[in-house]
Amino acid sequence: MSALVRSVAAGLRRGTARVRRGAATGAARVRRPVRILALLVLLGGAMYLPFRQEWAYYRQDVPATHTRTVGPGRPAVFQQIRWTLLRYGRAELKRGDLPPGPIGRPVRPGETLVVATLRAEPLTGHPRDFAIDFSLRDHAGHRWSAYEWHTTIIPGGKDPAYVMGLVPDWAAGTFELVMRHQHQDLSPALGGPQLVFRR
Amino acid sequence: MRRIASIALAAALACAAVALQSTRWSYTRAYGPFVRNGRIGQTVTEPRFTIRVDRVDGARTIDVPPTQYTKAQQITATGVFVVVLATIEARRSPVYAGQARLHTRYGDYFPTDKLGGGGGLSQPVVTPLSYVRFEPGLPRRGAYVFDVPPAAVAGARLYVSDHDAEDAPFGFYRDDPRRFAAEAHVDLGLDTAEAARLTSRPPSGYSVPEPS
Repeated sequence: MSALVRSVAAGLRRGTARVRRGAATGAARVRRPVRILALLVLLGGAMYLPFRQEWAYYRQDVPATHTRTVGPGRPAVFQQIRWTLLRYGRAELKRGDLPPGPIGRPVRPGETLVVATLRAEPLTGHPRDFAIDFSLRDHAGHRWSAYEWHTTIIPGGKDPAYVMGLVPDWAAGTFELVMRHQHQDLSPALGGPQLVFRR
Repeated sequence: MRRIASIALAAALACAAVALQSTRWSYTRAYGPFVRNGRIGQTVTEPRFTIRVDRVDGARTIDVPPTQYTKAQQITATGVFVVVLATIEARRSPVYAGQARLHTRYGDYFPTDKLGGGGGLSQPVVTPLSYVRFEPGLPRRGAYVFDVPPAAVAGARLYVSDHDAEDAPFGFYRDDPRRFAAEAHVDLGLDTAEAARLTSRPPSGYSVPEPS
């Protein structure tokens, strides 16, 4: 009797060991690719991370992190001001009027001074400077500098806000106004959100 | 046996990692300046701007016309003025080609400060191309002016970069203005005969054109 029990117990032990060996082989088969994959991910990460910011800096023109677009006549809030695009057009300077300083007059052939006219309603009563990086863009990915012009934004003010820029003739009918947050040191905006006023 | 193979593989990977360290990119290859070469009369296309050097002139003195607030003046070169006339255009977004150097066998010369405007606190009496913000589709023709010893002119090349250290957004790179710059190297065609022509009798009263 005891010999029978011993032989059954031995058989059970052998079976359990076989199952364990099989499971161990299966786990090893999965573990190896996982380790290789993890190693590759680590390797890729180690190569990518040190170059990430530098690459952004090399481009010096980091695209916005996300883009919000708003149609003409529709309001959008940016820096606690509700902006509504009224129209796009060519700027016509009256006698004695000067365009914004950094732009200058269009004196060369093929240049057009353009303006975006907006309604700007501050959402707070306290006067403050806004720090907006204005630019004009087209759908081909070109971008031009733009600056506010003859604009004072006060609660209840009736005067529109103007943003002016100098673009080549071929962009005078297609440009769109873009707003981004300006850096404290006035260097170009890097990343961050942008608001585009569609035509 | 498998353990020994694993250890050997790990050791081989470690050796390969060390070997890769020693075969890494050079500083210039990794951090720039990323150079494109060209020559006078040819358009060099950089990622953010294009440049074409149209002409190189020499001058002993430069005439500055009077303005509403200043009298006419004449600025004399210590050596000889090398005036590089070039046309630059931004490709996609506004850009300065603010870092210009004249690379000579004596070393690199930066644009002369005799026209004023140093440190950005005042406007120079004549606006060099370094001060112009270029926009896409709006090319500008203007000048870079260098004051160099006459003997340095032969073989001189113009190096122009879009890099502006003031715009560096990442603190510890601010001290390294050449890092990640896209740089155009333009052969000005100044062989010995051409250099002699520019430096032997440079004209006085040269009028540097404003960017147009």
